[in-house]
Amino acid sequence: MLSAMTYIPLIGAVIIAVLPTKNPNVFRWVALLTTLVNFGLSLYTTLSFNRGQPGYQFEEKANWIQPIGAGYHMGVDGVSVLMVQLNGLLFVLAVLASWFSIQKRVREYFVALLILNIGLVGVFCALDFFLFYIFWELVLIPMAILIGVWGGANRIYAAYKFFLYTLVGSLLMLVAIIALYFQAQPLVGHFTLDIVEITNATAAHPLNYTFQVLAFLAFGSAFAIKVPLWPFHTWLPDAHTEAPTAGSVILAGTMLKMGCYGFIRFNLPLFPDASKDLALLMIVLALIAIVYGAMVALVQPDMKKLVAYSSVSHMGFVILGLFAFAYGLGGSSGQTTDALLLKNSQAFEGAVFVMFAHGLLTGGLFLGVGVIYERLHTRDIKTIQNTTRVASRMPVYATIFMLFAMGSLGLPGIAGFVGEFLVMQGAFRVNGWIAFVASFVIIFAAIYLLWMYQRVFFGKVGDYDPAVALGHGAGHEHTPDTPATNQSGPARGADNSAHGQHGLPMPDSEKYGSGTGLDTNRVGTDTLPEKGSGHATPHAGHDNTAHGHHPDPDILANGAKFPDLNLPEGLALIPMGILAIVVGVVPALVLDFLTVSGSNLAVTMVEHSDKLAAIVQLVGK
Amino acid sequence: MSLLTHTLLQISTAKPSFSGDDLYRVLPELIVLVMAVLVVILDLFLPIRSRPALGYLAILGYAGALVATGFLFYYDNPTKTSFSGMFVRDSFSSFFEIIFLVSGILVVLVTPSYSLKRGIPLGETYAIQAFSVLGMMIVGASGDLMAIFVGIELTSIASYLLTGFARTDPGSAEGSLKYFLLGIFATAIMVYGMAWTFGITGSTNLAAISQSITQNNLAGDAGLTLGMLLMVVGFGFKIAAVPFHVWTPDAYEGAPTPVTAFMSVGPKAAGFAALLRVLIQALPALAVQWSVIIAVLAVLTMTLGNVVAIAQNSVKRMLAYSSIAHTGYIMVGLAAYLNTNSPDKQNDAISSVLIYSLIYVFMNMGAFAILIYVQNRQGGAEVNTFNGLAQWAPGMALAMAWCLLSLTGIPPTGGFLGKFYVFRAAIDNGYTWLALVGVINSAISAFFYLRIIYTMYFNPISDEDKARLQPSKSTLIATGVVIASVALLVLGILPGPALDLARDGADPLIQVVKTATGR
Repeated sequence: MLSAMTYIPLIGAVIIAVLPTKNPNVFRWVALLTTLVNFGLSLYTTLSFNRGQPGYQFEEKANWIQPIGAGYHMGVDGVSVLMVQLNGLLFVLAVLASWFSIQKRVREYFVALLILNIGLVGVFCALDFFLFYIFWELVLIPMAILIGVWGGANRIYAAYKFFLYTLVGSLLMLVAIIALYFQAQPLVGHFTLDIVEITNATAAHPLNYTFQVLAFLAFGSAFAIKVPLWPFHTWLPDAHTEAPTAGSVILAGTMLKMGCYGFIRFNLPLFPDASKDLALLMIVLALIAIVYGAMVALVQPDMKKLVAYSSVSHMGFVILGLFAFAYGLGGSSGQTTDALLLKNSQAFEGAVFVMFAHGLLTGGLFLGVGVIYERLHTRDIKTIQNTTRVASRMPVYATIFMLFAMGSLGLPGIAGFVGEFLVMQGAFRVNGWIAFVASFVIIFAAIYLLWMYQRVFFGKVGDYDPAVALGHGAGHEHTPDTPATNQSGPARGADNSAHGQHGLPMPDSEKYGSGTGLDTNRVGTDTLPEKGSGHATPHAGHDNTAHGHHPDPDILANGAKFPDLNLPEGLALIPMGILAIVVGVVPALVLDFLTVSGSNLAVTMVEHSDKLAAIVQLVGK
Repeated sequence: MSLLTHTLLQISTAKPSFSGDDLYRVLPELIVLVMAVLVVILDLFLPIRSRPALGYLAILGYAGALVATGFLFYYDNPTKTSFSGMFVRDSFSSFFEIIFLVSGILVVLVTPSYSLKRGIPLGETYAIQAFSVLGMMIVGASGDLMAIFVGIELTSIASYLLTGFARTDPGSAEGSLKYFLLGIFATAIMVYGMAWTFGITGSTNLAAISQSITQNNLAGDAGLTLGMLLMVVGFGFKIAAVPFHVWTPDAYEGAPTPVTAFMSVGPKAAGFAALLRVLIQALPALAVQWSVIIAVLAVLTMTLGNVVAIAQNSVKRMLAYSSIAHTGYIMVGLAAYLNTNSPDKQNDAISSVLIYSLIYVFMNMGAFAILIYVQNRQGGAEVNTFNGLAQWAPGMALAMAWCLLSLTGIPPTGGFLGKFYVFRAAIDNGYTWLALVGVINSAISAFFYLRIIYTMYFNPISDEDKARLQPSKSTLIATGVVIASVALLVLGILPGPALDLARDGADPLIQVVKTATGR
C-alpha cells in the first residue's frame, strides 16, 4: 500500500516524460490523475488506519542491502499517516495551482513535481535509515529545480541557497546516522539500519549520554535547517519568494514538516536524555523564531515574503510544543504515570496539530497569493493597494482568503487555533512566561495578517489609476532588493522578450498555446506595454470571461477582465478552506491519530523501566 | 589436487620455473596482451579508413578478459600464485581487473569521435591504452614489489605517451613533459623505498616482507619506516594525492580528453591497488604509522581538490581537481584500516576502497564522456559551452546531471553508496573526524558540480548556437554514457551484489594479515 503510494508518482512521471505529444494539457491531466490516485490511496490509508493500535501499521519489510544491514521497511504511525494524507491532498492542489500558471516547459515541470511527490511520501513512510536518507535527499533535487527553472527573478540564487543549506544539514545527519549505526550495533545485536529496531533497542538501553548530545546536535541541525528554526531560516524567505506557487505550497505544506517529523521520529525517541536536557535551548530558539518571524512579517512589503515569515513563526510553535513535551518528561520522576501522560500529550498533540493546520492554512495562503499574482503580476502589497479594490472585483476569492488569514492568525473555529492553544498549554506548564511571550505573538499575527488583508483587498476605491500604480512600480524598479522586481523577471515566461535576462527562449506557440489564457495576462505595473495588442485567447471552456492583459486602465476599470477564481483555482482553494474549518471545529478528527503516538513516544522517553510497564498498561486501555 | 600440490611445491622450493598453470592464471592478462599486439600489427596493414574498427577488436579483447576474470573468479577462487610468487590470482586481483577492464571498455567507447576530429591516430591510441590496462592488471595481481614496479612503469609510460598524443597541441606536449619528468622522479623515489624495504627485510615478496617484519620484530625500524614513506610518496604521485598532485591539472588539461578520462580513473585505481597490496599485505605491522599519514594526506587531498575546483572555469580542469578530491575520499577508506584486531573492520576499510574505486570509474567516465560529446561540438571545455545543454541534448544533460549528482554523493546514485561506505569504514575505526572532514568536503563539492547542472538547465543558449548545435548521433559515446548511468543507478539502488564482490575482494588481504601476524 505504502509502496504503491510512493511509486505511483514515478509511473506518472515516466508516462509524462515519454508521451509523444507536445500538448501541455495532456501532461496536466496525467499529473492530476496521478496525484488523485495518490490522494485516494492516502485517504484509504488514513481511513483504514487503526487509531487505537500502538506501533506502525501497513508495514512492508524486505531485505535490501544485506552487507550493510539496510532493509526496505515502510510503515506509518499516527503522525506520519497525517503527514502522508496532507501531502496527498496538497499535491492535487499543487497540480491544480500550476494548471494555468505554468506555461513553459510543462512536461519537465510535472515530472519534477511528481518526483518531489515520491520523495515526500517516502520520507514519511520510510522506517529504515538508508531508505529514509535516500528519500530525504530525493526531495532536494526536484525542489531546487522547481525553484530554479520556474521561479521568480532571483530564482537561481534562491535555488542554490536552498540546495546548499539543506545539503549541509543532511550530510551532518548522514555522519550521525552512521555513528548511530555503530553505537546501536551492540544493543541490537547485529548491524542494522532499521529505525524500529534501533529505537526499541535504545529505549531499553539508552545510548551513552555524550553520544546522545552529539547525535542530537547533528540530527537536530539537519532538521532545524529544514523546519526552519531560527537562526537557520534564512534560506526560507528566498526559496518561498522565488518558488512558483505550487512549489511554495509544497514547501510550506509538507517539506517544512520533514524537519518537525525528523525531531519526532529520531531526536526525541533516540536521544531522550539529550532531548530533555537540551529542551530549554530548543524552546528558547523556538521562542526566538516565533517572535522574530512575526516581527519580520510585520514589515514585509511582499505578500509571499510575509506568509513565508509567518511560516517561520508557526513552525516555531511546533518546535515549542515538541520540546515543551520533552521538557515535561524530564522532570517527571516523582509523578504518577497518568498525570505524566495527560500533562505532556497536550503539547505533543498540539505540535503535530499545528503541523497539519499550518499545511492547510499556509498552503491556502500561498495559493491565494498565487491567484492574485496571476492577475496583477505583482505581490507588492502597496502596489496592489494602489491598483484596485480586489475585494469588490473578486468577492469569492476575498472570502476564501479571509478564511485562511483568520485561520492562520488563530481564530477559534478554524484549524490554526486548536494546535496553538494546545502548544500554549504545554508551554505554560514549562514556564508561564514562555506561554506569555508565545501568546503575545498571536497579536502580531493578527496585525500583520489583517493589515495585509486590508491593504490588499480593500485598496483604492474607484477607477484604476495607472499613474499611481506605475509610479509605485517605477519607484521600485531600480532597487533590486525590493520585491517589486519580481514583476520584472521572466516570471511566467510571458515576457522574455523584455526581461529575459535569465529566461530561456521559448517558441511562441508554447507561449500562447491554445486554451491557456493566463500567460497573456500581463499587468506588470512597471513594464511598459510593449505588446499593446492583448491576446485575449478564448478560455478553456470552464469560464467564459477573458483575461486582461496590460495595465490598461479601461480593461481594469471594466472589471469583466479581472475575473474571480477560475475553476482550477476554486477547486484548489475551496476544499482546503472547508477542511480547515472541519478540522478546526472537530479537532478530534486529527487528535485521535495522535493520542497513541504521543503516549508511545512518552513511554520511549521516560527513564525508568518500572514506569514503563505501567504506562504500557495505560496505553492499552 | 595435483594442481594445488604442484603450486605449493613450486612456492616452497621457490625455484624459478614456468608451467601451464602459471599461464592459465594470467589468462585475462594474456588476452589483453594478445589483443594489444594484434591492434599494433593490424594498425600497420589496415587502410586508414577502416582503422576505427580496431576499437571493436579492443572492446572484444577487454570483454574476453572480463569473461576470463569472471571464470577464474568463480571456478578457481582461492588464492593462488604463479611465477614464483610474483603474480597472485585472488579475488582482490579479480576485482581490480574488473575495474581496469571496465574503464578500458569505456575509454574505447569515448575515444574515436574525439580523436578522429583532431587527427590523433586511433590504432596506436588503442594499443597504448591496452598496454596501460595490462600494466594496471599486473599491479593489481602482483605479489611482489618487483611486479608492482613493472606494472606501474608499464602503465605510466603508456600514460606519458597518451598525454602527448595530440602532437600539434602545445598544451598536450607541455602536460606530457611535466607528467613525464615528475613521473620518473616519483618512480625513482618509489624504487628507492622498495630498495630500503628489501634491504631491511631481505625480500621483495609481499608476504615474505610481512613475515620477516614479525619474525625479526622490525616494526619500529627507522629504515623500514623510511622505505614505507618513500613508497607512499611514489604511489601518492600515481594516485595524485596532495601534495604530490602538481602534475595533475596540467597533464589532465593538456591531454586529449579521452586520455584524461582514462588517466583519472585507471592509473589512479592501479595506484590504490599498489598501496593496498604494499601497505596491508606487506606492511600491516606499520599500520599505526601509515594510517595517520594517509589520513593527513586524505584531508589535504580532499580539501585542496574541492576548494581549487570551485575556482575553475574549464570543465576539464574542474574535473581534474575533482578527481584529486575523489582520491582523498578513497584515501579515507584506506586510512580507516587502523584497527588490525577485527577482520570485519579490516574488511570494511578495504572493501570501501574497492567499491568506491569501482563506482568512481562509472561516474567519472560518464561525466567525461559527456564532456567529450560537448567538446566535439563546441570545441572548448569552458563552463559556458554547457549553456543550455538541456535544450539541444536533453538526454546528455540528464546523464551529466546524474553523474554529477553521483560525484556529489546524492542518493540514490552510486556515488552516495560509495561515500556512505567509505565514511562508515572511517567512523567504525575511530576516524569520525575524518568522516566529518569528508562530509564537509562533499558539501563544498556541491558548489562546482551544481554549477554545471545549473549551466546546463538554467542558462540560455545563444541563437546561433541553437541553430548550429543539433543533437547529432554519436552512438559510441551514447553507449558509454548509458552504461555508466545505468551502472550508477544499479549501484545506488541495488548495490548488494557489488558490495558482496568487494567484500570478497578484500578478503585475501585480510587472510594474509592473519597468517603473517600469527593470529
